[in-house]
Amino acid sequence: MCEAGFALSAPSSPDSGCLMLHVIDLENCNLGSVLRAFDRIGISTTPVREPAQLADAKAIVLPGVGAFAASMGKLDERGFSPVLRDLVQRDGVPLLGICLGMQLLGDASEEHGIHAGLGLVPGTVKRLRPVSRADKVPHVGWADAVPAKESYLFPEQTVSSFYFDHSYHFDCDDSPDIAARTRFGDEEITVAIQRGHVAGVQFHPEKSQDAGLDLLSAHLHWLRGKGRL
Amino acid sequence: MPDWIFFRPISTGCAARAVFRTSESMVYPRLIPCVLLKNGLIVRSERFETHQVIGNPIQTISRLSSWNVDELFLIDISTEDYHDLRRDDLHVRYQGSSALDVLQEIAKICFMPLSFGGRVRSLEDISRILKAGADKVSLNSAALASPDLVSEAAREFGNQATVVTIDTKRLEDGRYEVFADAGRTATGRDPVDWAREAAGLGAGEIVIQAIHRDGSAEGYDIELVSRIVNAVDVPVIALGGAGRYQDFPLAFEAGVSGAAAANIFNFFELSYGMAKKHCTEAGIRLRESRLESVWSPREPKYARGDAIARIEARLEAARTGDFPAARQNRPTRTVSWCTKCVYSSLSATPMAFDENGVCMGCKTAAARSDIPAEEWTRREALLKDLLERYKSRDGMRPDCVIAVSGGKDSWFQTHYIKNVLGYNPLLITYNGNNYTDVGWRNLLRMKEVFDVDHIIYSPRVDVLKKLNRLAFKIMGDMNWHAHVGINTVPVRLAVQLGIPLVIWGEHGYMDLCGQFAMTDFPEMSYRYRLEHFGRGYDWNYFLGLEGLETKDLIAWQYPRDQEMFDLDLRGIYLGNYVDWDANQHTQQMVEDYGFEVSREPFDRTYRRMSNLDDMHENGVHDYLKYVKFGYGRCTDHCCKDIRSGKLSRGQAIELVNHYDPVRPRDLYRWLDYAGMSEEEFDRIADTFRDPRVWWKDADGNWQRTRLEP
Repeated sequence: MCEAGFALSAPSSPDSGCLMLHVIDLENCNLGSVLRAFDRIGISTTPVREPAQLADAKAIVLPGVGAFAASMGKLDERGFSPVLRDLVQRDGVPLLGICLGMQLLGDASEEHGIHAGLGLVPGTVKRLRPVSRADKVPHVGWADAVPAKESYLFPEQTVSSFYFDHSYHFDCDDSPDIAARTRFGDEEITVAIQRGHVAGVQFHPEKSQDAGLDLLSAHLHWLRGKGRL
Repeated sequence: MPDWIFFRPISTGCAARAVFRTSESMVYPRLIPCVLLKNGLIVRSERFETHQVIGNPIQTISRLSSWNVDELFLIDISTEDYHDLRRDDLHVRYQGSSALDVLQEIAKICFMPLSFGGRVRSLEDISRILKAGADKVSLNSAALASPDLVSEAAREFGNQATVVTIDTKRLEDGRYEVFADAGRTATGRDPVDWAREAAGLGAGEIVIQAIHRDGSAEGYDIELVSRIVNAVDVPVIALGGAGRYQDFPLAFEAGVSGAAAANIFNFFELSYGMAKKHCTEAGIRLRESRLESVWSPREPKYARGDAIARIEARLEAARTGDFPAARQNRPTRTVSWCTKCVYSSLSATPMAFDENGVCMGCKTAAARSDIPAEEWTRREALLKDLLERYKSRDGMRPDCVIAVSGGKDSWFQTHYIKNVLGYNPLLITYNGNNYTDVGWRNLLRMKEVFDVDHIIYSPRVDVLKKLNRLAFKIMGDMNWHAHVGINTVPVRLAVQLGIPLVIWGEHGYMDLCGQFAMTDFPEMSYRYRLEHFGRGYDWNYFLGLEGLETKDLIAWQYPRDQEMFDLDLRGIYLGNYVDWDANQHTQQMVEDYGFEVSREPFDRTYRRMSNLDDMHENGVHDYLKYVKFGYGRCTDHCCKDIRSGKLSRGQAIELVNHYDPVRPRDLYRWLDYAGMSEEEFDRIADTFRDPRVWWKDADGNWQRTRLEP
C-alpha cells in the first residue's frame, strides 16, 4: 500500500526469528492494533489460529474484545484451552491477556450467565456497578491505573493513565495477584493482574500511547530477562 | 486544590498504594485533535463552505502521535474517491484513492483511540472502518435518514463504537437546526431532540458540531453545547469554533467529555501541550500527555537502505529516460488556472479553488484588502502585547529574534520592530553561501543602518555542496539546505540564547496560496517546516549519504519540543499584524535607508527586489520548479501583482509565458559549485517532470499545456 521508502512507522526491525511473540488470533477487530503496537516497540509477532502453532511458543499474548462466552467458545472449539493450560502451567510459558483476554484468564464470568474461563488466575469476572450518573457502563476512556504491588508490568510503580473500554471487571480471589487498580463507582476495581508468569491488563495498551507501549515494553524486558525472547 | 492533584504517585521504592479522594469514576475528559480530510489531504474548513489545503495527513498525524494526544477524530469530507497527491518530490506518498486507504496508513502511526466519520452509510462501511484501525465510527447524514442504522450499529459493534455527529446551525431567530449532507440540507430537526433520540437508539457518544462557528476561531457555541450535555447521559464532544487555548476550559466547564478542534492544532507550535497547559491552569483535570513520545519520535525514522535505493532508482531513470512523464504522449489530467490571477491548479504549493474557479490566494488577498484600518490598529496592539510579554525585563538578552536574509522584508521587519515599535531585536541569518553581491551588501549593512546586533551563521561549504547535490537528486531541489536552514537556525539559536520570540516576515503560504484565513494567525511550527520547507525530509535523512554525519548537520537540527515548550517559544509572522505591501515596503526601504535593489535584471522574473540572498532561488532552483510543474517564480510574482492591482491578467500572461521557460545563467555557477555536468543535470531534472503537466511529442520534445492569452 505504501511505497518503499515510506518509513515514518519503521520500527527497529527484529534481526532474528527467536525474537517472536505468539499472539492468539480470535478474529477480533483489534488484533491489527495489537500487532502494530508490538511492531512499534521492535518485536515481531506470529498471529496464531491453531493450537499446533503454539508448539514452539516462548511467550504468548491473548488479546480480545467482545463477549466472554463467544471468545471462550472459540478457544474451546479450536482446542486452545487445554493447550494453553498445559503450556502455561506445565511448561511455564508466560502469558499476557489484554482486555477480554485478561478476563478469560479467570475461573468464570458472570457476563450473560455463568461461563467457565481458563482458570489460570483465581477470580471471577463481574459486571461494573455504577453508583451515580457519572459512572457510565461501558467504562470508556482514559483512567489512571494505580499500581498495587511490584510487578513486571509496572516496574516503576508510577500511576499512568490508560485507555479503557469494558463493562465487566476481574474480581481477584487472591489479592496478591492484583497488579493495579482504578476507581469505578464506590469500588477500586482490578485493572491489571499478575500471578507468576501469567499477567493481564483490562485496558488497551495498544491504544494508550506511550503509557501502553511502555507497559508492553516492560513486559518484553521481563521476558528477555527470563530468557524467553 | 483539585482532588486529582493527590492522585500522583506517592511512593518511592516500596509498593504504591492507591489514594482515591473522590467517589466519582475517574475517566478523564479528552482534548481531541480533529483532522479533516478531502481527497486525501488535510484541509482547513470555514463554515463548511471554503476548504483550504493544509497538507499531508501522515505528517500531521505522526506529529500528533509524538504529542501523545488523547484521541484522534478523522473526518473525511471528500465527495469522490480521487486523491490528489500532487507531487513526486515529497517524501511521504501513499497509494490508494479512498479515505479507507488513508485510514490504514494512519493506523500504523496511531496508538490512540481513533474515531472516523464521513460518508458512513451502512453496517458494511462501519465494519470496514473498524477493521482498518478505527475504534469508533461516526454517523451523521445516514443516521438522520435512517435512525435504525444507529441501533443496528450499536447492536453489532457496541455503543462505545457508535458515535453520532450532529451538524447544527444557529438560525437568524436564535433557534438551532440540524443539517445533513455537510451542512447543505436543512432537516427541520432540533439538535436536542435528535441527540436524545440518537442516545436512546444506542449512540455511545454525541459530537455536537456548530457549523456557524466552524473555522471562525470565535470559540465554541457554549449555549448549544450545554443544551446537549444537559439532555443526554452519554458523553458529549464539542466541535467547531475553538481558536484560542482559552476556549477549551470553557467547553469542559460546560460539561463536555471531549473538546475537539481542527485548525488550532494545525496552526501553532506545540499547540496540544499548550492547550492542555491552559486547561490544567484553569483547574480542568486532564490526562497528562508526554510531549516527546518515546515511541513516536518527532523526527521521522528513515531507513538508510531505502534512501540509497531511491537515489539509485532516480539515477537509473535518468540514465534510461524511463519515468512517468516520458511514457505518455498526452497528459492524464488537464491543468486549469485561476480565473483572476495566473495560478495553476497543479501548483507546487497547496492550493484550492472555489466554485467560480477563483484561487484561495486571490480570495485571501481580497479578504486582506477588505480589512479596515481599525482592524490593523487592533492587530498592531496584539503585536505590541506579544512584544511586551516576551521582551527582556532586565536588558540581559535581546527582546526578540528577527530572522533575516537581508532582503526587503528583512529590512522592513527590522525597521518596524526597532524604529517604529522601539524594541531591541537580535538579527539572525542563515548564510547558504549563495548570496548575490547586492544581497550580501544589504545584509552586512543592516547592523549599521538599524543599529542592531546581528549573527550570521555560515555552515561549512563542503557540507553545503554535499547537501546541494544530494537534495537535487532526492527531491529535484538543490535549495533544501536553504529552505530548512533559514527555518531552523534562528529558532535553534533563539532557544539556545533563551529568547522566546522569533519574528518572521510574511507567511508564504498565506500570501501566495491563501492557505489560512486572516483570523487564524498561523505561527511557525515544526510541522510546517518539515512538510513544506523540507518536503518531508528532515536533516537525519541525509545521515550516511556522501559521508554526512550528525555533527555536520547541526544547522538543520530543530530544537527539541521540551526546550521550546519550557521557553514558551513563539514564532510569529509580522504579516498577520501589519498591513503588508511588498512593493511599497521596498520603496520605503530604498528611500529611507538606502536599500539596494538589483541593477541587473533576473533571468526568470521581472521583479528586481526579491531573493537577493540566494542567486539560485530565482534562478536554477526556480527553473526546476518549472521543469516539475510547468511554471515558475514569474507566475508567483504576477499573481501577487495582479492581486494588488499592479498588473492586468493579460499583461501577466505575457510575462509568464516569456519568463517561466527561461533557462537561467546561474545554472553554470551551480554546476561548477556542485561538480555536475549539464547533461547529468538535465537528465536527472527530467525525471521530476509532473506527468499531469508534461508530455513528449512525436519528435521527443517536451510539451506542456500553457496559459494562453
